[in-house]
Amino acid sequence: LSAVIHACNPTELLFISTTIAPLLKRDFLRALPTELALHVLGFVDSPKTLARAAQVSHRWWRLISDEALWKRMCVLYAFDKDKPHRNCIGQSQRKGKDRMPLVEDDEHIRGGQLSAMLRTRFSYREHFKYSYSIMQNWHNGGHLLRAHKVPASSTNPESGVVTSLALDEDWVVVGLANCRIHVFSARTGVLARTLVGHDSGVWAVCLVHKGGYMGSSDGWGQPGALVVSGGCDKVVRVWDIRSGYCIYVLRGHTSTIRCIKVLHNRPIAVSGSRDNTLRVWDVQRGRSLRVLAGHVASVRCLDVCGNRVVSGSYDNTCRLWDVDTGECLHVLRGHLHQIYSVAFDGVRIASGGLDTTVRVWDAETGECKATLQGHTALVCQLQLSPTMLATGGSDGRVIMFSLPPLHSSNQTLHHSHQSHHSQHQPNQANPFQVLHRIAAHDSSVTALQFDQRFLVTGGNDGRVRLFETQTGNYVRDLSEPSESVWKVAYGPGAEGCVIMCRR
Amino acid sequence: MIVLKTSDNETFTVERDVAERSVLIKNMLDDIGENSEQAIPLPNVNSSVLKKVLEYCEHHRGEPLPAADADTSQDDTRKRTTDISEWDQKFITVDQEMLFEIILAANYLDIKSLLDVGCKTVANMIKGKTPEEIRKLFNIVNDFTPEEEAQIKKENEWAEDR
Repeated sequence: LSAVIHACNPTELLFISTTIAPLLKRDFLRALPTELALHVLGFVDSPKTLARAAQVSHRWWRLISDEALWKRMCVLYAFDKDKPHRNCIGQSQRKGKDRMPLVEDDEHIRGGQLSAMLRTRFSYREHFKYSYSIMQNWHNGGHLLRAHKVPASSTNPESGVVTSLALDEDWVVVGLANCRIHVFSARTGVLARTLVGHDSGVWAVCLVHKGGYMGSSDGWGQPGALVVSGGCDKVVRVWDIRSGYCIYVLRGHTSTIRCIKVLHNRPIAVSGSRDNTLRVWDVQRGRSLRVLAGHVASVRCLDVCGNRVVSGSYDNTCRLWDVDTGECLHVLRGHLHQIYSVAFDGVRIASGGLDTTVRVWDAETGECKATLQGHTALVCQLQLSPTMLATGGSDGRVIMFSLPPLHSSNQTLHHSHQSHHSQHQPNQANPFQVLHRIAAHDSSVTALQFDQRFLVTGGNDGRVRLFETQTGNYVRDLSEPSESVWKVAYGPGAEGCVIMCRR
Repeated sequence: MIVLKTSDNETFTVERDVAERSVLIKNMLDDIGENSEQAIPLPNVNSSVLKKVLEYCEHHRGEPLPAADADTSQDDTRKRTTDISEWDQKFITVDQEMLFEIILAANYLDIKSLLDVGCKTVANMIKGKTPEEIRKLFNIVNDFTPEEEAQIKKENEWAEDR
């Protein structure tokens, strides 16, 4: 061979070289055994690369259809398989579009067995595709599904003010200062019902259906979705969403109702009022069950978990109650001024208010575990997750704190019966660290919600801002600026976001 | 010293700890005992590839081997970076044919770290390329019909930057 090559002139050599070059190339993914080809693809972290590689040839396409590959991608991107989203099964039957669709069309692989398989079985590939599309849409996509206007009356410009919001995967419920409650379809954004009956402004709404998210509860398996509402007319109303019919009018409070929550999986509602009490209601039978008395000033906020309710009051205390016995389990003293916000996950209680501090309490012992500073004005927004606490204030600031892992706080609970030294353990030294301090708005933060990926905030400055939860980095403003934003929330699965604002 | 015999009947004499980077060889040595003078046959590896593989083993001798049967699928996902050390990078800068042979040999000889270096290299070659660029790079024939191609393109549009 070498003799042949030496005998060639440059033109011939060039010919040989260009002829041979492609032959020395290897279609690795075809030539390698399947498990090695998949091992190669396991080193690709970018969905864009995988999606492009799938378009190379049949062999590559088949390899990239491998479920284990997409399972790994789901883990890598933390797309939780159990996170509810409505794409899992039967998307193709659905007529309604996603609120932030990536492309106009449903993107299922059409025809053939694959499509049939996808309809009946969970697919990591589809799950990844869907979750990734939503994530990308939050970053730089999405569109306005529908905008509604509430006409403000000329005599009272405040009448159109939105006071309260609850949503799950089907419904968005909005309470207004003009006595009305609007119910929208969460899928289409269409105004489905207006619930008319309250005599004056509505201050609190709770949606009883499914999802158990942002002002909604899971319900107890009742046939239809319900709304429980209250306001200045001192009555609690229970509504059937489908018919718009008011099932019960529950009387008892002697002043404005400020807050309402319904327990998960039970027909029990708890309301808090300016008459200093909380009341527990059976909303299935329409009865008052008991009065939780003890606060010496207006009850401003409450949160429920299991059969416990935490109330925050203008008497500067929070109280933890047993809903079933009516017993006050703890009075949480420490705040110097009125309390405006509480959050409760069954283990921890977070509270914030006019004294600008946030306190974290142990629900078992009633002990104050931390006093968190950083705000310079009223703390009006709180959200707890297993690892984080987000707070929002009238100073326009949003602060994310880390929380000690739940199991270790359980241990602390446990040990505290025998010894009071547990808090001196070095790893417990200061588990409440400031993760991010965000100057989110020019004026008061009026809404705040985060999941493991995104933090959305709304402000009196009329802006809705999107941040990354893990880094605190600003991503972008959602929607056009308005005069002020009253409420913002996104649904389970983060497929859509509701913004209530004054324009 | 250990003697290894390749598919093209060439023999290589190497130190035991170098040869034992290969879990296959290590297991064979454990089976046949200490004092065997016999050459270990490696019928799936030719001499030019083995030479290259031994160069790798030589360089990485003494480094801890990955645990025998550790199912690392969980951390694997997180740890799996596409980083390749500078020496490995230089080492693996070979033509596609050699890269292919190294991957097969590393798999056969059970040298996990080398297998990963090889596979990462291929993965890195694909990165950021369009389907046509990938075909060109590996001399792959587009075997889709135009209809199929259009459909698969549509099906994968979700991952493109918008």
